[in-house]
Amino acid sequence: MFTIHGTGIGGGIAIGNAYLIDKTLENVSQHHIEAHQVNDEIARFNQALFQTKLDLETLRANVPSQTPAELSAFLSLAIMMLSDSHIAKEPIKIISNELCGAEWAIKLQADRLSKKFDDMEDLYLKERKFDILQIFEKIFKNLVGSKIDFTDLNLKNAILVAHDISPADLIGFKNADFCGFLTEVGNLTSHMVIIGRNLEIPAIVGVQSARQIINDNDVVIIDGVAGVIVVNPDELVLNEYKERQLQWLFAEQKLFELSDSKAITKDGVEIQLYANIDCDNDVSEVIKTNAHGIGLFRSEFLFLANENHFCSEEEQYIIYSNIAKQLKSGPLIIRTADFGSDKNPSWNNQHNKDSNPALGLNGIRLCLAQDDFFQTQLRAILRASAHGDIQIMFPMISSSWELKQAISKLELVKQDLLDKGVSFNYNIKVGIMIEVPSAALTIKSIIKMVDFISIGTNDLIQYLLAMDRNNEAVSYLYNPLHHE
Amino acid sequence: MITKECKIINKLGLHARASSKLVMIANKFNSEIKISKDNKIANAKSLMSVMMLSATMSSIITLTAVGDDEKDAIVALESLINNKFGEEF
Repeated sequence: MFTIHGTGIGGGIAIGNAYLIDKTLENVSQHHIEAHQVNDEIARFNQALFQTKLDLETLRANVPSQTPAELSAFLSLAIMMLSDSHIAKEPIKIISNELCGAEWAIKLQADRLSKKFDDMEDLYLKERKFDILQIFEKIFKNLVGSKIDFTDLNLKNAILVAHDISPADLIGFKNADFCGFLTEVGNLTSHMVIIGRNLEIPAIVGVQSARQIINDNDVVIIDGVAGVIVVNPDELVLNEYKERQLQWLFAEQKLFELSDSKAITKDGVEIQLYANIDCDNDVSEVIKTNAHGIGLFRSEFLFLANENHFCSEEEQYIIYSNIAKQLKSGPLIIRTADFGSDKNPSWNNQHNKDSNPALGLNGIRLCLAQDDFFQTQLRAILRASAHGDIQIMFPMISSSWELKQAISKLELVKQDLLDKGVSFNYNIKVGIMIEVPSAALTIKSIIKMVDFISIGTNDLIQYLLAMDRNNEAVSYLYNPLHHE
Repeated sequence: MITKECKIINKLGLHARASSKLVMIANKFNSEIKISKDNKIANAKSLMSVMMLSATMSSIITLTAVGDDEKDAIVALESLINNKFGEEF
């Protein structure tokens, strides 16, 4: 049993088995198979071996002419090794003799061979161990692939251990069934926090080298509030956390009972509590908790969820109006696509070239530059506004001039819809997100042009303090109460 | 069956590249070819196996071939070893 620490992002306590994402040979675990599965495992192994050979042959065929001859020779050597019985045949024997998965067979054989090389006296030959391990690692990569299979049934009790989780993985995560996750990078303000809160499962971020310390299938306790991870707990500790888990669930239940009561401050002001959502599936949760409406629909996730499919005007229209129809009360505030440094669609090629992505062509800037994309979204929102209280919010506005441009685009689309006789709410409310310091400082002139504002604290603080919240090295500068 | 004792005379011994040349030549023959050194025996047609002999410079190895082309196989392998695997030193 041992304990490690990270930044807890809430969600209570989870107890489960570690499931490592981006595995390497080093942390693969033994996986028992039944006799009838042997042929399938061998087929998997052979396929991975074949793919590795193909990869190396392609590489060798494309070696530029000016590269030293050693490189080609090295590749030839590696290809030859792949046909060697120690690599190509031995793992097959292990699979059928020991009834284990192909991954474990590769690991066993890699270990055995490297032991033999360790025992050699010749220093040069000793070093060849690493060439061989590299070859095994390549086969292994082809065997496991890099995609996370969220439909894997074994995930039910899993605590995911990953290096990082990108916002694009988010949708996959939502449909998956696992009990907690931890990542090596991240802190209180990264996008992982949003994911964690949305999933309502315990999560801890910023757990350095987690994938080295934790092995697949280790029993792991995550305390998402304290940021504590206990690996392979003894019985006493395990029981203690089971007890705390029950208490947490009980407290949650009591909080849930409060969702019927009004939100009123001590001096008697009633506050409207709105929910934030990332996709239409979130709406049932909003209704369950009696939120008064949706204050922020991060519409960019519609375009990030499936890289190969572009969400059309019609699809957007259906999604927006369905959400509006489901809501019992309050508005649905749709923020126009806010692509940024940590969530970027593949079609925005410009982004990778930016030396300073957070200060680049993001948010409303990208929308204004991509006229077709922007007008399509505005048209979908306006059309949906016929079916409920839908409002528009522009992200990342930095000046009244920029806001004017966005509004004039909206007016253009409105006029077009009027001309075509399409019904929509002509007086649709328009607001902006205040997240750039210049907008905060010139709020007096900006506010006259909009119906509401929303304060985007994360970005506002990041831009004000010139610190990248995803950069662990400077995250200590993140101080919302900064003064002097 | 033909048996022949050889001395490794190239500087690096039976390292990866030299081994691969040896294995490539051995694979051209039908005969079963073994290389032994001390009490280790390697299949001359398996690169890993040959490398794991860890035969360095001045090691004495024994080539053994069994098959219809055993004679040619031994001659070819012996000349490769005596030519220092085509290396300059």
